[in-house]
Amino acid sequence: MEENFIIANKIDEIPVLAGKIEELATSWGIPLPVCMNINLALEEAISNIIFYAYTDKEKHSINISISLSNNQIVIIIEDDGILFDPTSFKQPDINLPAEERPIGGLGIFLMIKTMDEILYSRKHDNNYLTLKIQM
Amino acid sequence: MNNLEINREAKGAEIVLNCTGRLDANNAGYLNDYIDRLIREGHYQITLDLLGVDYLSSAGIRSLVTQYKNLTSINGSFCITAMSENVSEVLNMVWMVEMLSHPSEAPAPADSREEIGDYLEVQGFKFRLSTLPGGGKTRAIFFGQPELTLQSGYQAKDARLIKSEENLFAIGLGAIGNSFDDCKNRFGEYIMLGKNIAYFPADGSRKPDYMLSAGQLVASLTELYGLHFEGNFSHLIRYDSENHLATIGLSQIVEGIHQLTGYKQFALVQLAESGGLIGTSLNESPVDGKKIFTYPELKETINFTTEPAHNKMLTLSVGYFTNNANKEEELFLRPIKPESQIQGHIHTTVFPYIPLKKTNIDLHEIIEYLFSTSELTDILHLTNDTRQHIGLGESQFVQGFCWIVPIESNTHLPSN
Repeated sequence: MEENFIIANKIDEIPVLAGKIEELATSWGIPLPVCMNINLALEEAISNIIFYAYTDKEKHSINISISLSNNQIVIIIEDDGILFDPTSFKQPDINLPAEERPIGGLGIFLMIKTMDEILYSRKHDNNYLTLKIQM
Repeated sequence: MNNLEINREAKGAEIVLNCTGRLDANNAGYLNDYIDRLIREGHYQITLDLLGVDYLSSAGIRSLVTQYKNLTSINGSFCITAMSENVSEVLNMVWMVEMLSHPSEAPAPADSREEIGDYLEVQGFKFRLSTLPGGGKTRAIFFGQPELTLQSGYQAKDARLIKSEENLFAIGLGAIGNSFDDCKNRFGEYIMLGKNIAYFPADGSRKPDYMLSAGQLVASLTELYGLHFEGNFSHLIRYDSENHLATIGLSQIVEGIHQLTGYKQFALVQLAESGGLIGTSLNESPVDGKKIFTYPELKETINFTTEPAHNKMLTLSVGYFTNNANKEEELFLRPIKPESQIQGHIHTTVFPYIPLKKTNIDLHEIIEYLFSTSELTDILHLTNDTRQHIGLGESQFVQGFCWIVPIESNTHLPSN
C-alpha cells in the first residue's frame, strides 16, 4: 500500500497533513501510538524544511510518500531546499539540568526517538529523508 | 481537532490555562503569545491543564520550556498540573515531565521588605516606597552651557572628555569619541548608566550608538554639557496599577516621588514599561551656527515623536528633578508640566520588552543585561508637548521602578 501527499512550504499545512495521516492510519489499521509517532517525526522533519531549507521566499512543494509492507511503514520526504542532513546533527544533552538545556535541537532528537531508522540522501539537488517504523 | 483552544481561569493569584487540541508547530506560537500577555498583565503564577491536548510536538515543548524559563527568571512559577497520555509520553521521551510538572521553587513571599514601606495612590496607581540599605545622598554636577544649543554655538573649548564609572549616572549632549573635532558632526543626546554610555548621533543616521566598559576598556564620551550624579540611591519606588491598560504620566510619577520621599531635589534612574513616549532628539550637531531650531529647518534637524512612541517597550531613563532651581540650574531644566514648581531633565533609552521581576530587582544587573543582550532601539529627551489642541502631552508609563537619590548640593562647572 502506498500513498502520496504534496504540501506547500507553509506551517499551517502541518495540522492538515496530520489529519490526513490519521485517516490513512484508520484505513490501514495503524495503531494510534504509532500514528502519533509518525506525525511527530513528520512535523519535525517538515517544519525544519519550512524554516531552514529555503533561501528565497518562493512557494515550494514538499513531497511525502508513505508505504506499508511487511508491517513496516516507510516514509520518504523530498524537498528542493538547501542541503540539510538531520542525521548529522548532534543530539542535545538531555542529562543537563532542566534550566541549562538549550531550547532548540529537540526536534531532531524526537525524530530519532520515535522512528526505528532514519536515512538521508541528496540526489539531483533534492533532499530525501527516509523514516522507517515498525507497526 | 486542528486548533488549540485556551480557557483561562483565575484561582487566587494563580492563572490556570485549560488547553484543548494540538500543541504543534502551527499553534505553539499562540500559547507562547497568550502567556506573554498574561505576564505583561502581571500574572506570574501560571499552571497548565493539558488533559485535553492530544498532540504535543517539539515546537510545543519549546513554548513550554521558554515560558518555564521566563517565569522562573522573574520569580514566578510555571507548572503543568495535568496532562494527557500522549503529552506525558512525549515529555517522557525528552525527560521533561519532572521539570515541567513540579512548580518551580516558588520563592517565599519574596522580599516582603518592599511591601512594608509607605505607599501612595495616584489615579489608581500604587506607589510603594522601600528604603535601600547603604543609601545616601549625592552631589549633582552641572557641566557646560546648555543655552549654546539653541544657537549651535559649541566650540572645542566648550567640550570635555568624560569617562564612565561603575556608579555614575549622567545625561546631556555629547558623542562617543575622544575629541571635539572627532565628534563635531555627531553630538546628540547622551545617557550614562554606570559603565555604559549611549548616545543618539545627530549625523542623520537616526540610530543610537553605545559603548560598554569591559576590562581595560573604559567607555568615554566628549561632552558639550551634562548633568551628573552618583547612584547612592536611598529609595526604590515601584508603581503599577491593577488595571493593566492604565498609564500614568511622567509628571505624576515625579510628583508622586516628591510626595512620598519629601525630597525637594532628587535624581532618579527609572526602569519602566512604556505606555507611549513623547520626546525629541537632535538630528543635526549643534555646532558652526547651524540653523537647527528654526522653521522649516527643524523638520529635518530634529527628530520628534509625532505620536506616542515605543508603546509597551522597556525604558531605562536617567533624570534630575527639583522644585527649587537656581538661575544656573534652570538653564538645564524645564517645568515638568505647565505652571509646575518642579523642573527637570530626563533622557530615556528604549529596549524591546522583557518581563521583570516584581521584587529583588537589581539595577546594575538589569543595566548590564539590557546593554549586553538586548537591542538599544532609541534614545529620547522626554518633553511635555503642551501646545494647545495639537499638543501630544507627556510620556506615559504602564509600570516601573524608580531608584531615587536626594541631591545634597550642586556644583556648576563652567566649560572652559
